[in-house]
Amino acid sequence: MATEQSQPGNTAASVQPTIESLQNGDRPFVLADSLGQVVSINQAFERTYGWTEDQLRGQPLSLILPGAFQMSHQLGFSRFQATEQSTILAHPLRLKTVCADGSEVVSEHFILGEKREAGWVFGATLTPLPGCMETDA
Amino acid sequence: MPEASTPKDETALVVELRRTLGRLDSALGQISEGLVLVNAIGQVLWTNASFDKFVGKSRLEILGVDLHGILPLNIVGEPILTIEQTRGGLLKTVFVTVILSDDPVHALEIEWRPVVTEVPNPLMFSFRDVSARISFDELQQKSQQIEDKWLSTSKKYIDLQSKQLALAAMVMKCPVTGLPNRRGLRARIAIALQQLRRRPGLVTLLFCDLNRFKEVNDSYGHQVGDELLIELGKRLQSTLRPEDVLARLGGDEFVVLSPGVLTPMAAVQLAERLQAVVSKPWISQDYSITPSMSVGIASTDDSEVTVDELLRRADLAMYAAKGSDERSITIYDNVIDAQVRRGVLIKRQLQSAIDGDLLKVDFQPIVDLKSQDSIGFEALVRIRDFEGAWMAPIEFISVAESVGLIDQMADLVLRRCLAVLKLTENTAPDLVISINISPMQVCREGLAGRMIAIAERYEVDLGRLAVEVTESVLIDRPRTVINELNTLRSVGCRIYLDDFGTGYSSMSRLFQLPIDAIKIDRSFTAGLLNCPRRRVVVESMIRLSLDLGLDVIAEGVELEAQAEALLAMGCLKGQGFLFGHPAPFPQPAEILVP
Repeated sequence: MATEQSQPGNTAASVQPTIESLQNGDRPFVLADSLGQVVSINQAFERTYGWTEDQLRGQPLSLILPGAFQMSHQLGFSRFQATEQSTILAHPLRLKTVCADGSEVVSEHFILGEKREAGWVFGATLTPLPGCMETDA
Repeated sequence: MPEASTPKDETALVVELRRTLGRLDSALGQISEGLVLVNAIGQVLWTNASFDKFVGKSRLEILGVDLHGILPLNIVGEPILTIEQTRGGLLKTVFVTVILSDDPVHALEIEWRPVVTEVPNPLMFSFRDVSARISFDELQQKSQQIEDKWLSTSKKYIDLQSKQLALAAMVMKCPVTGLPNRRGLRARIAIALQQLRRRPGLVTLLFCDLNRFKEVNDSYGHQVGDELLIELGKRLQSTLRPEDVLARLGGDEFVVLSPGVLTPMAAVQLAERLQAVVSKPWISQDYSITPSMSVGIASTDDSEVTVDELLRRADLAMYAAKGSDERSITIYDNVIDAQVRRGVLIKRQLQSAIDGDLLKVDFQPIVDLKSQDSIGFEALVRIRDFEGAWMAPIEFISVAESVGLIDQMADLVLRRCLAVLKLTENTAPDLVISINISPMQVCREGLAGRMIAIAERYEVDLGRLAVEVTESVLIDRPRTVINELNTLRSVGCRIYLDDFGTGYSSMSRLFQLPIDAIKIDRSFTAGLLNCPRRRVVVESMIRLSLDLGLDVIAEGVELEAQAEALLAMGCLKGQGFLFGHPAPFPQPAEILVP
């Protein structure tokens, strides 16, 4: 499969992670399409945040983001669609994640974007940081 | 009938709308102004990248929070906008200038306006960095004023809005006249130049400088000076069209900005009207002052000319007008540019020489033509130009006069001469040193008093000092000149009439002048041997002067034959290269005084 990675923020000289490598890891993972709609989540995600894949598939990613971040997320997504430039991809980002029960957990998001034949896809691992209150927002 | 849209079409439309939003967001992120949209309760709905950078936060941190809480503090440690100012409901555009720091200078113009989308309406703020448009001195002064006011007030809370409006007003306006100040003017010139891009025309500046305003302040005090400025501001304003802008740059400088098509002739006519309205006597309480002013004009039809350059041209033209008695209105051109640039450089050299006591004073001997012994010296001040060459006195004296350095320079020369006279009071008690006094100096009251006071400090007999004045100052014998010269003569100081024969003095009027000697101009001495007519004139000059009891000194004596001819005509004293070039004062032992 021909892919093109977008990692403008990543300057590491080491091996670059891919969505596939994230997907095959054991951390909570979510995959979204070019519209920002959830395509799939893994079992670790289900266990950690309480959502089922059926609940999220086809839903906008903003469903798992606190209300305060949703506008920023939508603007960033729109901007990426226009410019294919992003400042948040490929580096850790502390954000709150909304669980199925409505609670919010500070998690470290690591998001990658790849341009595939059918369009852009976005994969992210989310690592909960229990007890952590600070976010990048 | 239009076809019903399918879900796929709808999705494509959403994608395209998102792209449009993204493009808009990206484009607005590239402009230098910080933009922020807030809702009716002051929460941030949207920002551009410049605003994010300005507050040093990511958009994730900004969206949804209160704008008031993320703004920096101003120079006195207060929020630059109040909570009320950041909330909706406003129905008009508001504009303030805030100072964040003075070193380095950081100033912002904040403009906000309602966005008519919903009720109560959101607000769009723009933050523009205007640090470069504020002069550092001006800013320091303003910030100090504000700080002082802040420290001295016992009130804990001063309405921030009124304070900032006052600050903006102070920054944009002259506190004395209420007219736009330099910064306000610059902003308006910039707008006028921008408009040239859309609509061809001319932007004209008339740089007006009051003549001798310093004397008003010195004589009547700054309070009266300020009142006069206010009055003149009103008079000037009354002469202008509504679209013209009058600004006060500080001191005694006003500038008129005239947009639109103003031909050179019309600009001169406007300048004449301004001069006419200014020159009406101003009577206030016991004072009656008749002001006058010089005007420099600069126009451009080029929108790419910078504000500074246009102001510089007008300033140069004014400077040239100021240096000219006849033309107190001057239009900028390249020749003026070169002349004034040189004048500015000379002024700098002059100021630096005065400040550093680097003026060089040379002395050229005046001799007894019979014995060729020195009986006196003429002191000649010398200054190097910026390339190291000696400048002609005529060049720097006129600059010194026009920039007000002539008195300082003359006092320094006088002190040097008095020091020499003091040094030689025992070895050469009959030695006389003559100094040149410029027309401007001798026409002003107080010269004699100042010279006498300085001489008293050196304890030097003024009978050993002579003052050389040119014929021009004695034309019509203005009362002030006569009084000053008579005062000097009353304490023994001699008066020499310099460059005699080159001016307008009638020989028949010599007896009316308060002088002790004439100095025959070098041009007559040079023609003495080979021009019979000149010889006759010189003979007549000498005979008449001697008959009137005046001493005679011939300048420019370079040949023995000239000295002999002068002696034969009865002239007993001479000066010229034959006897010595201007040079540092000789050691006392070298002076041969009979």
